[in-house]
Amino acid sequence: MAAAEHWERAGAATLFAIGVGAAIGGVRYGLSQDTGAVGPGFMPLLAGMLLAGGSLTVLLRVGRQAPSPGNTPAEAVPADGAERPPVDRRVAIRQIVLALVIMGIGAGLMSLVGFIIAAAGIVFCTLVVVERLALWRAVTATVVITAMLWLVVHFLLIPVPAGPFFLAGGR
Amino acid sequence: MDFSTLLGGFQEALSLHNVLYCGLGVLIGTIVGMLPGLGASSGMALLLPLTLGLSPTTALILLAGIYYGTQYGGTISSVLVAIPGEASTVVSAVDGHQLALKGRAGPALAIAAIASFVAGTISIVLLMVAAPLVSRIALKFGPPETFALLLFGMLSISSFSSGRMAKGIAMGGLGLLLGTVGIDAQSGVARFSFDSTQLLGGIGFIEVLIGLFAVSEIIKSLGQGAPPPIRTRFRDMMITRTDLREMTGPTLRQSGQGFLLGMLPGAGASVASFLAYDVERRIYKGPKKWGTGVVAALAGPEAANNAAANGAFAPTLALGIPGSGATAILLGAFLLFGIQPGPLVMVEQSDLVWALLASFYIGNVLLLILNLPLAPVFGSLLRVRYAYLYPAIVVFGFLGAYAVENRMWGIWVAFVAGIVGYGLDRLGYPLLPIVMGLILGPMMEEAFVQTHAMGGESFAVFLHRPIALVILALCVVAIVMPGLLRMRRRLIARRAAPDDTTDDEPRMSAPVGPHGPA
Repeated sequence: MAAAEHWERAGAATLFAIGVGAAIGGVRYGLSQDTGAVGPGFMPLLAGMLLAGGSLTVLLRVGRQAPSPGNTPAEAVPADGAERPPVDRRVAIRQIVLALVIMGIGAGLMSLVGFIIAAAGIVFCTLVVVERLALWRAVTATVVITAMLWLVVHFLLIPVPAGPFFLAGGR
Repeated sequence: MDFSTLLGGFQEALSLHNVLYCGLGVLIGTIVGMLPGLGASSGMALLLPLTLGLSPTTALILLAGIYYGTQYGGTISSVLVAIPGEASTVVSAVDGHQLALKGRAGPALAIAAIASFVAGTISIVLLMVAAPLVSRIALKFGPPETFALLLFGMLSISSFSSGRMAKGIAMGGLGLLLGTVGIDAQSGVARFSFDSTQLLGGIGFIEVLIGLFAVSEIIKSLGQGAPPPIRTRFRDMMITRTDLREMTGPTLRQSGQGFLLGMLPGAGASVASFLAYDVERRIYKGPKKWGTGVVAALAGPEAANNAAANGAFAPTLALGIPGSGATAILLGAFLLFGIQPGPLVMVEQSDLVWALLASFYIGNVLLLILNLPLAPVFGSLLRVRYAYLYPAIVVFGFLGAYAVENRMWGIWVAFVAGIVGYGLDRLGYPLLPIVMGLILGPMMEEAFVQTHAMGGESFAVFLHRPIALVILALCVVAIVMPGLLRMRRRLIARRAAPDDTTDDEPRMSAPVGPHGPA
């Protein structure tokens, strides 16, 4: 409960700081131009005020509200209400981190090895490392998904990075 | 309206050649619409050069087919995997996806198809009967009215906040802030670009949408444990009579409202769908909690975005003013074939215009024939184990994010938006207001600056614009009314049970959690 409140406070404080920064930035850009027209800073000021105001209200309310469900990943209530097997918090965090690392590395490699190859890598690594599927299942699923991706890229002429293997016929 | 010209239009549109091209258009449109990042505009722009060998009527029928096909295609990805293919189907991802998660993906898609068909039919009749008449209203719609309407649209943030108003407002502000990043079109000043050339081009809402809906949803699912595959029988994927009853009112209401909003320059299908969601929430009296898979919350916005898509043709045809990005491309196609849209086009090119209008109806019938039987098949996709689905969602999402501007930057925006979105969701912040702010913010700013300039650097111009004043008054009513009604209810409750109620009780009535009021 205390940890949840701590995170809620930290989140609201971060948003409040961003809001204040945006509002200050807006004032610096200028609220009106020399001609008298609305300046480029007006909208950032308004947006910053809304963000700061909303998050300040949240900040002031933290701790005064009844406990809310889903404050830790393991306790989170699925929005769909579907019954799921209980998840160990450490396993969940490990899976999230692994999935994000695979996505990040895959996205980083897209310009180098080409979009299709990198996408196939993301699918395969996710299935093997995160989901721990049998190799033959992972290979089959990767081939099917990559083929579908290639068809879309090919028929809609999307100029994705082709990389050294020229699988996409893009750039 | 001269019925002989209308019949002539149907005769032309019903030729085998044109029906085939119309079918091809709606099929391509449905597929393109399903892919986030590839909307009606990009689909039409891609195929425009390929239509040069066709007759003008056939080419325009094909392009129009793509246009309204994308409206439905966007719904399929919204409902099944909560990734809206189009800005106008963002709200369909809320209750539509909830229905899908409850094993009712087939009915959800069928509801969307039927609502779209009914709205399409009603709006086509309105378009045929009233195109020249309604276009006169569109002419009276300038920046002050657009600004007032967009402000009204922004007020629907409360609908997407599930009782977490302060968090909803903060997220609306965050969306508006993201919309200001890049070069300001009015003054040329670079805002919040931090000397990055990528940021100069701004942050696109499709990329953010993919991040917030696809990537963050996947992270969330990994944290909660993958949802089990949906085990429903094929016959459960069929629509029921109760569904039909629940969707009738919202569909009919939003067909009219969507059409009117669609023909207004600057409003378009996205604003129509946001407002439809808000209006239906206020009207809804059913037992289910709004946002948890309510049929009206899917049917209303779906009807509205389809009617708006057709409504956008009114100013395009009758005035030569495109009501949306896609109709602007269609306008370009008219010009490419040497046809000048405007008041005279209905007289000089009446055969072509009526054939095009008749093809809208045929296209709608084809979409229904195509999508109604396929709804259970599409819905069955969710029977696949999630472990196989989500890597595919990631790579198709990345493809969509890339395709918006054909640059890797889009993928990184989606990736970061996904992580940030997950964090915000865990803290109970609603994500839809971010998208609303990002979509409506730049349009609102433009209208605001133009309104100010129109009034000689004064906002007194609103006083001379009755339509804008009425909409602004509606905004005030929408803000003040819920508070007044709450006060009235409290007073009544206090009078009814003076001994049982303390001052603090009403405030404590609804503890709020990350997933809505507990």
